[in-house]
Amino acid sequence: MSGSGGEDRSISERVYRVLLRAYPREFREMYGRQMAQVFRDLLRENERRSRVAGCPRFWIRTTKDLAATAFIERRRTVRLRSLVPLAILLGMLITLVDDSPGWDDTGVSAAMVFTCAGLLGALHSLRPWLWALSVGLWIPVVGVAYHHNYEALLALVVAFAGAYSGAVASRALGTV
Amino acid sequence: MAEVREPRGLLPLTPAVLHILLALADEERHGYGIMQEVEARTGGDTRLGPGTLYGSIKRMLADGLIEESVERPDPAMDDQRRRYYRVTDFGCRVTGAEAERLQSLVGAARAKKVPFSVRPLPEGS
Repeated sequence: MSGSGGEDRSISERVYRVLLRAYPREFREMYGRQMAQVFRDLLRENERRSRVAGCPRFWIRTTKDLAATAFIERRRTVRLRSLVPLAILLGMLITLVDDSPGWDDTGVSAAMVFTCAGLLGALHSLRPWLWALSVGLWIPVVGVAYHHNYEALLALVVAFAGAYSGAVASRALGTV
Repeated sequence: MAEVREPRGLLPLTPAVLHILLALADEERHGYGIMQEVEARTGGDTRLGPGTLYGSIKRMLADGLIEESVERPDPAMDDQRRRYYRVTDFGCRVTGAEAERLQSLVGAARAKKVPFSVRPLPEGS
């Protein structure tokens, strides 16, 4: 399976260095070299224990750690001001699709509202209500104002559920 | 006059931060040394990944819990490129405050006769 331990190690190290790009540049510049060095140490230790450099279990553990912490570090660099216009734009786009002639899939619209509000809530978990309103307000506004459809207010409930779910998941991740 | 910081302001600590503080409580260590100490002390139950370790180190440096050590061990014994960390006085006080907080929780659990795990502790602990 493995040609030589040194070669496998070298490939694994190169792959890990590429994966480190998931972190924000500032974080990478401060800790990227140290993380690569620690990864090298862990790889050697894993090789000693299992006689294979970078077995699947080792990679699953490493990737899980990297994905969770890269998300946390990225989240810290996201600015609130840049997210609000994006949230409003997403809400309006979903409304446009939902209100288009022939569109009859309320479930898909609800899923889009839930997912967008949830992702925003996860990115910036301090103000879930802001993401719920920014994404979920437009469907009720158009529904009530133009079609007198009060059921459209349910979109707000879905948006709040999504935003708060995202925020809760994100806070749970923050306790790592 | 130097600002006096209240250790309890940082509580509760995340498990990773507490483990790192405990690993540095008795000696300076580099990243991999911290990971080894945590794994050995917990009998392999806790393994910090590189991302968790350095993400925590970054915040601990910012909070003044640890600092980078300027001293280097004997060059013949270790890689000079490694960065060593040590706990600050404030970090020591925060560790103590967190330990007290956990101790009172353990006391509450004992008082309520909550059954504790019977799993044996790692050797030497």
